[in-house]
Amino acid sequence: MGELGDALVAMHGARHRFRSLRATIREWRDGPLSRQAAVRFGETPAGKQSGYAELIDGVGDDVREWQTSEGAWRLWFERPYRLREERDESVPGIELGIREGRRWWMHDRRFGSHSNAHDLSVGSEVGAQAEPLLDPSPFLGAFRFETRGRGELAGREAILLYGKRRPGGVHSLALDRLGDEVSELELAVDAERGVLLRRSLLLDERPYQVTELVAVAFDEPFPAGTFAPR
Amino acid sequence: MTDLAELFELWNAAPESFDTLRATIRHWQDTELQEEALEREMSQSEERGGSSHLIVIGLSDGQEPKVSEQTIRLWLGRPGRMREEFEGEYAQTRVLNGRKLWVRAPAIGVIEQDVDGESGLGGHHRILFSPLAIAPGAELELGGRTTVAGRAGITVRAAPRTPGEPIGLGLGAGGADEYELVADAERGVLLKIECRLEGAPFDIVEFVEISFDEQLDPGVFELSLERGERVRSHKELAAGHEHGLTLEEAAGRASFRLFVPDAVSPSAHAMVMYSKTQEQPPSPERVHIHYSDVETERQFSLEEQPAGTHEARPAGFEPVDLEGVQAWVWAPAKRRRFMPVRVRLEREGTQIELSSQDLGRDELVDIARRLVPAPKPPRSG
Repeated sequence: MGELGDALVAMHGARHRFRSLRATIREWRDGPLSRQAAVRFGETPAGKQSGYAELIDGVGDDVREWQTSEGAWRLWFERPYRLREERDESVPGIELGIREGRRWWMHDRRFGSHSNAHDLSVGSEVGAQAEPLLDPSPFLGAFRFETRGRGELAGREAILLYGKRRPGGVHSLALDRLGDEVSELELAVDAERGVLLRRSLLLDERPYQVTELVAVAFDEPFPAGTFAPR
Repeated sequence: MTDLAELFELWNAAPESFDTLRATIRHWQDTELQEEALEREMSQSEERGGSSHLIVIGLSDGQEPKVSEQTIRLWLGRPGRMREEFEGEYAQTRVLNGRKLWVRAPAIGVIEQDVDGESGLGGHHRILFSPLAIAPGAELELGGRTTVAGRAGITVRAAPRTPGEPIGLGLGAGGADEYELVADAERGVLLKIECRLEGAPFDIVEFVEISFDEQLDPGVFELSLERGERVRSHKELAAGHEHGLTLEEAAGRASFRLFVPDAVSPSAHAMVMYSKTQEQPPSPERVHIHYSDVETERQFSLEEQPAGTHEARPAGFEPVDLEGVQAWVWAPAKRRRFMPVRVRLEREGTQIELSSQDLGRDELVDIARRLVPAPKPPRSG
């Protein structure tokens, strides 16, 4: 049995391989290279057809949009679906998000606090960034993977995969959130649990956006109130 | 093959495991059971708090066959070349060569369109060549060895991870509670997909003949025109249809009298389309009005054309008297709730069909009773 098959099966079965997870996650983005990736996709027939090219033109050379940034966020997750995420000010997104099943509550530095307590059919981005790390199965089929050996991240054994996006055909919410412009990536798959210890988006094999677990613990009990809104 | 890891490695490489392919595919469907499965999927999705809406198009007056079978011949070549020939009632030929796609069907003739060239290989059956795309939505279990189309295969049992959640096999497979897949032991491509509901198959796609990496005649990936045939663009096909009209504008264009409900909710919005008579596909002059209510999220439509275009009394419809105007009503059985209720009537030389997936029989009949001539635009000059 090869490393590649092991990693793919681990990714597929991640949802069965842990009950809870606590992690600190580093987020890094190379602004100019991100812009280059976006522009390149905008120039493809698919990018033109989807209106992506106009979107990128609209953003133009706005330096704030294409700044290099780095920051950290923290995640607590417990099955079947209880989640807490806290972001540093340097990381774009919700400062504090809590989700239990379909119910969510969030605090945003700019827009204040919101929840869907009044109407559970209202969705949000709470948990959206964590989901592909916790269940990376949507990447299967959409990318052609090859192994790049083994490594260690956050004190855990990882199988490293390089994936090249396949044209057409595979769609899911997770892939839509990843973005059409992502044509290649590198994943560090936890060999035992199947979660992603690192996800790097690449342009010509150079990383322009990296999400990486710098500390992780599985199957711990969490203190009461972890999943309670502030 | 002993475990899923080997299967996943095989599936990971399956889309690129051949340069050319020539095949014959059999597609068998039990349409009654398929509807039941789809209905179940929608209910399960709603139970989880999701919403489901199925748009039903191309309603026919006749009875649909309970079981249907279609043969498809398929040729694939890299890069980006494909020919699909669908035989049977819905015969069609589709040829893709790079960024050009040609579609030939009896009703529309030959249509040419530009495609982005990134649509993946395999046309309607591309999931057969990208089997790993099924994995995110399915729990998988290896079965025994078998043979399909003369090729050694591995049986894989699949079940949706979440009941009622689609697993990427398309609408026809919707609602299955179990799938039997057969993967080619050498190439990984799927030789067979059987969708089941409580053990009974309702949709089977399987190769009856398949060969890889043959030298294919390049002419296969061209569409030769037959005598009298001409290629039309998508733009030409769409010519004669006007969207986004007001009711008055549509009434002004139609050669027949247009009818509309005497009143609708203030939160209802009408989308109006007028179509001229067309030869290809054969289609009468018609006006389509679609009302959607943003507050109640309910919708209904009116399709109007000159009387005599369709049977005034279609089979399976029940008569209903609208104060002197004879109308005909069809309402789906309870388990076919996604099928629309339909009311057909004729008034002053206009055949009108109302349909809705949201309104009940009585509500739709009441709207039919309250139809009045649409206002026409004032004459200019």
